[in-house]
Amino acid sequence: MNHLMRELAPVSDAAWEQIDGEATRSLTNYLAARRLVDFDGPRGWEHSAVTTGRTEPVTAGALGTVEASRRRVLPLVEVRASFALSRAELEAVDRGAADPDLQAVIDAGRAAALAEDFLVFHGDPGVGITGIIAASPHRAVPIADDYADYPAHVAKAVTVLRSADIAGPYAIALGTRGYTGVTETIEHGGYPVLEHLRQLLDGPVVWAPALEGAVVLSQRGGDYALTIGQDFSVGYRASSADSVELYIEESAAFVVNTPEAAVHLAHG
Amino acid sequence: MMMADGTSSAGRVPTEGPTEGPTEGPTVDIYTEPDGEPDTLANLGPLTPMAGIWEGTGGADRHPEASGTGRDAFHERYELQPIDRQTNGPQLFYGLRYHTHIVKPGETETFHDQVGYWLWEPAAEEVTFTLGIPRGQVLLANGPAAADATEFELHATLGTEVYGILSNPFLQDNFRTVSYRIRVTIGDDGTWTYEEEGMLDIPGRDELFSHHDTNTLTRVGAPTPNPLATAAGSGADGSLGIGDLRQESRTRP
Repeated sequence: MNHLMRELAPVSDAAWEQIDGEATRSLTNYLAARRLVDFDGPRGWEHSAVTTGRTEPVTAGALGTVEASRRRVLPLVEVRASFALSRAELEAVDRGAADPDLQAVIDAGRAAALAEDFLVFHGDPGVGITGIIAASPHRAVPIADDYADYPAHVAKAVTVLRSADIAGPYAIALGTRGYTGVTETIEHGGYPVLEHLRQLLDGPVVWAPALEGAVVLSQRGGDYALTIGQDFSVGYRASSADSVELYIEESAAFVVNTPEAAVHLAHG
Repeated sequence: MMMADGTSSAGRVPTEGPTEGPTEGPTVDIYTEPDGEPDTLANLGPLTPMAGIWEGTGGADRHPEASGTGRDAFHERYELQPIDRQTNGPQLFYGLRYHTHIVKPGETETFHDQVGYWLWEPAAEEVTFTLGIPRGQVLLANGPAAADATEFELHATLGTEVYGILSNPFLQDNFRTVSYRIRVTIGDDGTWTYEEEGMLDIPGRDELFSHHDTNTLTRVGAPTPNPLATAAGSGADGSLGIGDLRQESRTRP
């Protein structure tokens, strides 16, 4: 048994299959950053930090006259989204119920996926992670709700990247507002905006619900790295007569190697 | 099981199969591949206790020298990592890719280096072992082993078309390995031991020389689940196996 303690849960194999399946569907539906940045892992629950190659000076103190420095590492962040399921619903799975109420699993999957994406796109100084947008030195390209103008905005962002010697192909991550608008809009000539964006970028257009606005970023590789220790897993916390408390968990860190490799598209 | 002609019966599934073929008589489906399981670590049969990273400091080697017989102690690091299931048509293997590195006590220079695969074929209840060394010699050995076996022995013989030994011209002329066997014993204490013997035909010697090595290995590291197990989420970490989604975004309409 590992730290997830699944074997201790009053959950049958059939119910675990339903829970894991629903969690996987929810996570893969909402996750965006994993479609766009370099992926390193999974390296296991024991993996604690990413090497940065940097050091910081420390006062030698008791070490006497020698010089001392401390390695700087980026610790992995543990993300955990808790949820509870009715034991009656889980028992219904064993009786063959095809419609168990697993909405709590879906909600937890969404929360966990958005947390990972928020760390990648926006970062969190509290955990020492700088996101793609915060790291970018480029001025944001202003966007509005006229989605027929998006190809022009994206072309401008691509030009900024090319001018900074950032090679393609490129991709765009769009927040819910922009993604919905882009997929529903036809240009004046009758051509879908979504297809026009793909041609400009030579790469994917990705829905990123954790994102405010949009980000155009290079897909050449090596610019951004998402390190996963424990990949998303469902674990067991506690149970009562009526419910089972579970959680979706991962450990992750994100490193920006090339701040210039992305341009933010921000609502004015 | 071994057949009289030395071939394996594994996977020779008699079927009604294709009606047109190069020969008359019953047809055998040699093309259809079984699905197999994604998690190799859960399907290694008698090789299961050997997966991981191992060290042994009590190795003993007996080898030929000009004056007769030389003997050396050695330290060994033996890494065995699971690979994805493999097939030859209907024949299905689960296996470990290995690398063993050997030095004499207190020395850095490589004394012996060896790579290959340990393969378990459940349908035939056989273990197959490949050996390659950077001195111009390879071999393929095989032997029976039940899924729960804690001892098994494999053999290779010079000059046969299956499970044989191949050497470069110098070794063939001067240290000709005419047969090879390796015996594995899984210990109750979590260790495993190998004992291997190559029978060498050496010019000027009346009898074959027994080149012998043995060591007992203690685990120092866990194995890394094979790629399919990780992708299927059935790996040892218990995760959902979501992993990298970049390829999915590139193929998505």
